[in-house]
Amino acid sequence: MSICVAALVVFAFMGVFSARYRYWAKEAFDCVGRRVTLRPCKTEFNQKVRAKITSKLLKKSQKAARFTHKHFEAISWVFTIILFVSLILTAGGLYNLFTYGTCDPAQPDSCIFTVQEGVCAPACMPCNCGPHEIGCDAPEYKACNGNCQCVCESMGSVTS
Amino acid sequence: MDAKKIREDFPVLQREISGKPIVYFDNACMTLKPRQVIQAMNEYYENYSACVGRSIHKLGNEATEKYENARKTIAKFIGAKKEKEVIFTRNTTEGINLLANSLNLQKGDIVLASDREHNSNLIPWQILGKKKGIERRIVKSKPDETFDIEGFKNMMSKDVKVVSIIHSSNLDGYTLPIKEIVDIAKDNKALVILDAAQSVPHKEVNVRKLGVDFLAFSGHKMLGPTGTGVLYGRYDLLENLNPFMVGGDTVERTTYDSFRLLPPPEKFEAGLQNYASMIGLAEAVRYLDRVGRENIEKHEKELSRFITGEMQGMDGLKIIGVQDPELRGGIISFEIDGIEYHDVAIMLDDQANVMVRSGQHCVHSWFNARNIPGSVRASLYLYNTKEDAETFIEALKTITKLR
Repeated sequence: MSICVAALVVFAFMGVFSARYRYWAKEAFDCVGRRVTLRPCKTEFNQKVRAKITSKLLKKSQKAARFTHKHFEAISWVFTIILFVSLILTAGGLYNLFTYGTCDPAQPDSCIFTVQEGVCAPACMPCNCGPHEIGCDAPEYKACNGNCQCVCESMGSVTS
Repeated sequence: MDAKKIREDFPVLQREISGKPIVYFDNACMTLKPRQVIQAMNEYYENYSACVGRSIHKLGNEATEKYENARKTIAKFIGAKKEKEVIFTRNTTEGINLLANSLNLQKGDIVLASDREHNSNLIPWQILGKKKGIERRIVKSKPDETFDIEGFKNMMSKDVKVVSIIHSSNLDGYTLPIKEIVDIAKDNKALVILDAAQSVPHKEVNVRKLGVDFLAFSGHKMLGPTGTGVLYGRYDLLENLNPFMVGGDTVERTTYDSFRLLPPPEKFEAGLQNYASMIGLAEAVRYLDRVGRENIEKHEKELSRFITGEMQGMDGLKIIGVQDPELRGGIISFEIDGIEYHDVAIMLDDQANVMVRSGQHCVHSWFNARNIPGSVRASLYLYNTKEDAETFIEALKTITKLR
């Protein structure tokens, strides 16, 4: 059951980019649909995924393949839990991004992608930096510290 | 017989998947098609794709001639007395269903079968049992899984009207002693229907020498197109059978209240038929005749002996059914302790492009009676080589290490 759910999410995403994975996504969807309605998984999806993964591992390491084959259900639960934790954290991060952007008003230098009006002025002028220095026109310096003074940074030292 | 040369005729075998050649060991389910068969079918579609037996124009005549020639070729192939004893069907299943529904069996009549019948020779009789009250008796195999001829003899009686039995089993390749079975059945005046789906493609089968009354087989298991099959019936018996499917091409004349059926085989072939495929099937028959079925049988047994020998040294691997490769022909059914049969099949495919069948192979009754969940089945044919067998064995050795 667990691998069906994880596989559905992963293959559905990969299926956006490649038709090859749409078949697997469809099978996973069918499997999830049957399992949640307390029917046996008709497509033997779990088995197919287990055998495919074991077979790939068998070419690299027999021990790993044997371990995976024997404990596949447990491993698939671990991956499913990791997947859902990752999804929850990603959802939280996206919520924060849309709500607050990337700028922390208390620390304007954190505004890498988002420029907060009135806090940062993005108009840094290019400066003549040395060959081993990074100029303020580099993306890392797009947001300024409230002034337009150009800063060139080399390894460990800052020159104005 | 040069299997490597034969392979050149099969377009599918020229393919490589993931840079590796195909090892096709699923021949008991479906065989690959040689170019000659594909061409014969294409010729019909490209040159004379008209109605057979109805239209009297040039294309119709050409199609009729080729189609009836196909019937002659197939009749000769199985040793039928005349081509009119050959009825074209879609497959073995349809042939057996046609008989189950056309033989006028009554309540109390007994149908005898072995315990290793394919579902297609089990369910039609089960349904007839429910519909008409016929009785079914199953002859159980001996402990070594060979046919119990004594048990069969003991079960025979004058009430046994039909012995409907498999010739070579699709689950382990075992061939039943059909001549003895026929002799015993004839002594009791029972009709014999032979399911020859796994024997006709692999060995010489002559209906007159065997003395069977009916014989059914499929085209797709003998290099022919899918959706093709043949039902042979002794002509005098066919004449007295009523078709269970009627319509176009089955009647001589009709009025609003009556009809007069055509003689066999036409009365059993209702509606427009699969002409191109039957012409293709005849080409497959010619191909097999050129190679020689005795050579095919010998070749398959050699490979089977080699594979069986190699398997015997593998830890946890068990061949199911009859053990002696001499009795099994080109089918090897096995299980690996601790690894599910579908897993083995998927891994064989993934590791080395070895294509086998896994499951209960439509013989659920046999597996369920023995509490065996399923098996992996490797089935061989004329285009399989020693290299194929070695690839299969190597992949199996790797998979058994998972235990």
